[in-house]
Amino acid sequence: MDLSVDRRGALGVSALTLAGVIGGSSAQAAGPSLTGKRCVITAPDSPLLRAIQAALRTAGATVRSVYPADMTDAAYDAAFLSGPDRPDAADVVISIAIPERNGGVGKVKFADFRRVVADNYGRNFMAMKAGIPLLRNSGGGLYISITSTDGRNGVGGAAAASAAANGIVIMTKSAAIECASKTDRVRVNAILAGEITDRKGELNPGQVRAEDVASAVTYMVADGSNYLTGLILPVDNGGAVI
Amino acid sequence: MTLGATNATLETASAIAPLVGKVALVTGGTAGIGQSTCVALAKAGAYVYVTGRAVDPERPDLYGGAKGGSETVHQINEIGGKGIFVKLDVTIEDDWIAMAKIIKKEHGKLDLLLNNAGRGRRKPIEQLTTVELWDQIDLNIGGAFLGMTHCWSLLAKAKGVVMNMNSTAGQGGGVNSTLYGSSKGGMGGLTKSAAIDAKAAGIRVISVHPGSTWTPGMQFISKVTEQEYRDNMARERGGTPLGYPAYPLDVAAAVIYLASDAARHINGIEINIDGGASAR
Repeated sequence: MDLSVDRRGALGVSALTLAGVIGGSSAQAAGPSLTGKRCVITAPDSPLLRAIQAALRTAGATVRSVYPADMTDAAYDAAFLSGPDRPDAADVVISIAIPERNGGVGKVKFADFRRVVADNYGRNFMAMKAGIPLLRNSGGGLYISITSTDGRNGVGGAAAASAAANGIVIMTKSAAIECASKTDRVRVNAILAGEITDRKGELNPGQVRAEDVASAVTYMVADGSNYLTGLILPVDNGGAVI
Repeated sequence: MTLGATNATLETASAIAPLVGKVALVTGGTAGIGQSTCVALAKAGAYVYVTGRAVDPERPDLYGGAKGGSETVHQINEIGGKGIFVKLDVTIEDDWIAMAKIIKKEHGKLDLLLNNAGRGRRKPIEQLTTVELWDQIDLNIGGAFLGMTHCWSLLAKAKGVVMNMNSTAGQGGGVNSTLYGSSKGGMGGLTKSAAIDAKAAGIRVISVHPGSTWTPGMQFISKVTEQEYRDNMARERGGTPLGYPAYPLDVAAAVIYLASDAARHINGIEINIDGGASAR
């Protein structure tokens, strides 16, 4: 066996000695700075919305929250184009659409199926339609679709949730391809959130806290993540495989 | 401020999350993605074991080997980070046993095992040999297996994370990729099963899939310059929607996030850093 330890860098100085002197002074004390980034979030009120707002603001971003009452172009344009500081431009647009599980095929009524699909898949579409021009207007930006892991796996008792969430996944991938050109410079990613819980202690596979999803958002928004597009990132505590 | 059309830098990659107090081991840390990730991990505050073979027998004068490891440590020193080079051939079990002893003695735990060492044998299947078959199995699958096996207790101590450096080639078929792609596919299966086995020990296991990434290895394989490679990607936008390659620090940024406490509830996933290529 030929295994030896080389503690010397090219300068011939012990790495351990240097580490002792410098003490890791270059280490980052906190997460990424998002200062100057203008974010627009569209979602109904929820602990997840509040966690994401807080994480972005703590990192220095400005956050504008909108949630039009009606699913019409006029309502979305009016909401997305309102507010101070150039509302016609944004660096980040985020849609949160976590569909409820309201029954399986054969049990759920069509009206209830349609409502869940509209409130999630439909609203993500409206948010992309209204939000992507804001990103183009700032010279490029990032759109994030946040939906549930029902967009990845088949699950019983969740016909509408699966349809809505998986529709959002493919919508995200298609928009990523459509908007990647040099003229658009818009990147599009998705986060698939597990079951959001506020319980203490160890979580079961498939369960996460709102803060975990918020951390994934700040990772995607950070400048170091600028090569990511078309990414579907599950944040579900290993729910898919464990 | 624009978020489009840029690649990560050492500053932006290392700023993704703090890793102060964490101990990392990177195989193949002597060049390319491994080298840049070692430096970025150290910049984020981790102590880094940079590992690699003493000599790359196929490319002794190009990069890698102990010389590359020494260069990695030099770069870590330059930015005030902490790390050392240890010679480790991932296919040799005795090397892993000795490596684990060193980490146990010096730190008693391991927060990140990045099984990054790997190589592609890209030829039509009729030109491949069984020697190359076993080389790919040993290097791309066996190396990760041995690393997880011998570092398991150290990872459990830290409730750490394993990241296996895969490829988008491991997620689908490709030209001249019967052996390389399938070996990475095997690594993907190993990763998913390990994630299940690791739950009891509190270890997370994640699969990292870079797409077209400009590295010395890619230059060696492609026989083109960096500019020619970029021009080709810009012309063939059908392959990678962003139209330009990733660089090693784009991958390093993802590794830093997934190694951090902020990602403590991300497990068993495949993450693609491919400029949208896998969205198709």
